[in-house]
Amino acid sequence: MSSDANPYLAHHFDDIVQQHESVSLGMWIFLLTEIMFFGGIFFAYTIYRFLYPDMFHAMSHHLDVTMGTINTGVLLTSSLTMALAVNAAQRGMKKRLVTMLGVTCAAGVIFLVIKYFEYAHKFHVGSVPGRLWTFETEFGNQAQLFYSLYFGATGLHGLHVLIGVVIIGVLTILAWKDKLPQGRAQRVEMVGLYWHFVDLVWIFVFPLFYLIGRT
Amino acid sequence: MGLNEQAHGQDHGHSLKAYYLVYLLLMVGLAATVWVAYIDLGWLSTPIAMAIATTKAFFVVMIFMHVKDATPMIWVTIVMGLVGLSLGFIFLFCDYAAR
Repeated sequence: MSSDANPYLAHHFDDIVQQHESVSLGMWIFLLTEIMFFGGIFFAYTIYRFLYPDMFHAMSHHLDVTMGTINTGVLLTSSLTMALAVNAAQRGMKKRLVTMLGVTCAAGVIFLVIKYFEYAHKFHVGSVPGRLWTFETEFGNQAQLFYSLYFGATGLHGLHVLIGVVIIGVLTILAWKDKLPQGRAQRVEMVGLYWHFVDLVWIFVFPLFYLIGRT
Repeated sequence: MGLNEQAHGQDHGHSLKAYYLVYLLLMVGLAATVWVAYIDLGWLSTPIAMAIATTKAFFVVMIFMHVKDATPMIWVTIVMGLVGLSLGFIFLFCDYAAR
């Protein structure tokens, strides 16, 4: 089949390869802005960790390593299923596509549920910076800095997971209703890039917040 | 032949195997991350943890995000992002070292 006969080729592109590269480029430029967005949090983290290393190490102990590890595993697994979903979409395997997207979406929900229990615990013990702060430590109000960064980083990451869950949920329904044919596989591929990016952020958040000063 | 068959026609046979392999590597990486956190490595703890995280990230980007097979334009874009991020950290560490 020649590419100019392809119903999925937008009229302003010469061919399907050019369309594919343009769409990918747009997505990567968006991810670039996301790198700088999360980069800002990591810059702030670096500055404050240098200023108050002992406080950071002590506060990290109050985070739940078990829940953090399970959540990391859940996200990594969802990245695999997302990659498999993209592959299924490219090969036009509908049933496999629906399953993989569904599993990815479910993993995102599991991540958020675990995150909810972690947050709920922090509200319970009063380690929430600001008006609700009642957490007694030897570091006094300094400790609020760690939790501000923790809630900032994991909150923004969680928001990205939530957005991903909604988008992947919609894709699952579209795929199930036969509205994601092989020719539209690039939609799944671009959402996949976003989902892998969310996973990447967590790969760095997890050791930097949960696992410092454990020895 | 669909849209993406034409764009990525060549790599369907072995790509799934690569995905499972990367997943295995990521899980081993996760175990390693948690394991080294409980070993007393002194000041090396954080650099080692970041080295493991960067390795994990490398495979996610290359294989899951298909950057291995991406066009030069995409490569340039990604490198610019990493340059921007690195500049931030370089300035930050220079400032810290100069105090």
